[in-house]
Amino acid sequence: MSTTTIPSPTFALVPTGSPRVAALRAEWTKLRTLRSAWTTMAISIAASVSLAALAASSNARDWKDMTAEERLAFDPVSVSLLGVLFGALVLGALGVRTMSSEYSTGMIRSTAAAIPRRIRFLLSKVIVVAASTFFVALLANVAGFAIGQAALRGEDLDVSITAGGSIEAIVAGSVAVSAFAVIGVGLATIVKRASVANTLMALVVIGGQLVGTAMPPSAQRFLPFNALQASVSVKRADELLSQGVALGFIVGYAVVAVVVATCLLQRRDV
Amino acid sequence: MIEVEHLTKRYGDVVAVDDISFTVRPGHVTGFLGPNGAGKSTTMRMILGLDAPTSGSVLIDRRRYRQLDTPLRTIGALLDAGAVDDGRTAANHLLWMAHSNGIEPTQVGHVLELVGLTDVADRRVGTFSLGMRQRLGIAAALLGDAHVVMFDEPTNGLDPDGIIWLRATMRHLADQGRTVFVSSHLMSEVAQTADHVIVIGRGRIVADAPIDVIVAQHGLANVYVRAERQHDLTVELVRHGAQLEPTEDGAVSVRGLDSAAIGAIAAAEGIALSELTPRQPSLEDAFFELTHDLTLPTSLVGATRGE
Repeated sequence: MSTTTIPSPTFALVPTGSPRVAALRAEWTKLRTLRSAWTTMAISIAASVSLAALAASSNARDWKDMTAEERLAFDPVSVSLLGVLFGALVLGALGVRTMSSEYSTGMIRSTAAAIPRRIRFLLSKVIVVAASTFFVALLANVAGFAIGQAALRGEDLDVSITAGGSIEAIVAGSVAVSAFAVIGVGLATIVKRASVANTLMALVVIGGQLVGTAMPPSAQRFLPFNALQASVSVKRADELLSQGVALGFIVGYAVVAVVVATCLLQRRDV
Repeated sequence: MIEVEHLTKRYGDVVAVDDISFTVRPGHVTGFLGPNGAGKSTTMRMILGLDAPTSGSVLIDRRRYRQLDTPLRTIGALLDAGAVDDGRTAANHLLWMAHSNGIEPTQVGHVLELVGLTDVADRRVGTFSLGMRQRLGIAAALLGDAHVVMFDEPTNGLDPDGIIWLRATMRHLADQGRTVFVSSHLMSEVAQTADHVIVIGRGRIVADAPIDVIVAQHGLANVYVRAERQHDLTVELVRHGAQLEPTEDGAVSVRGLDSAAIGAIAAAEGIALSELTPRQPSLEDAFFELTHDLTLPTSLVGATRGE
């Protein structure tokens, strides 16, 4: 080791600044240096855009064979934003990993020592994950929308991004995806283990598809999966909640996950 | 300064730390000594607010840990070398810590240089040896230039150079007026660094005093004796109430009688002594004296001591 001696205490070395901002910066540094965080984000964008392109082109191809009813129900905006389903899964898993990696590596002890106020730590992570995944989802949704509309253009089914509801759907879908990532953070905090948290995360996103058929449609609407679909839909449909209400429920689920996680984190030893 | 008051930690029925109180003062290296499982790490985790005490309190520079906005600037700690994400580089691990406490990022390079990790700053921690991880942990403890530093078993995995460096560093930190608190289960390690020792056994403080005081009070003096008619002498010594222990080189270690008494007995029996060496009690003896009945069933104590 170096023979350099440690300088005398210099407690006024730098201005400390706001501890809240410091915690946010720390969590941002952690996220951007988390192994495979960037790959995961890239995968999420690629998968979302691919799904949008696939869904839009297959709808365009089938348009000729659709019934009048089907044509009436066709929503060119939501078709091009189907990628949010992948976004919710992949970025949900990223949300899980930001917290499960703290537990699996033992880094949670360094974190809790550096940021002793557990609420501050958790909320910083939530804010950083929410903001980053929002931008990733926004990018994916804008790209998916553009590619999806291009695929629909052949049948003259495309809508402009300035058309009523397009931008709202893009933004709402992005908020919804980032809420799923936050649910991932919450679940991982609650159960600590990545394997368990990822299973729960998958159940939250697509589990409704498995058990949903056993539920009355009026109840199915509140399932995260259905609410996610509703958040990107422009056309009103009976089996879906309205966009605003759907988004409210998704964000509500995320809030519940964070509140439960906070309570546990406050009480538990790390 | 670290002030521990009536600290207790229970895990179900198990009392890991049992109503302990002590103060770690600035300007000294204070050793926290105890056998494995005595409650050292649990106590240190409570000092850092990682584990909540069942009862009692800890103050660091007169404040509770959870009230500290920038704790790394108040107390730097090495808890265990595992508290790092293997996927991150050494520099990035220290960087998020620096950011979390408003510490200048240039400090990262400085502490990496201090512990000799500059060349591997951008390597993933997963590729590090235990010794390198330990150094990274020490770098993290020094990152905030804190007035209190705490190391839990810091020499684990360190190479001899690193151990010597660490001892000098701890001495230096204490000489600067900082509070240095270091745990170990190895008495020899503490003997070479600490001025003051707090000994814990089965969750209770069994000694809290300057090293020399502990040695004087609890270390049992013994005398090495070698004689022509060794057997006859040992019989006589035992008759006079001494406790004997054979040494590896064929002498006997005598406790309970000083060298003058042993010499007198030998003379009275007409036994010629070839060696009579009074030995100063060591911290090791003191430590054993303080903790042996706290760690092992009595039946095993004799066996471990070769009696």
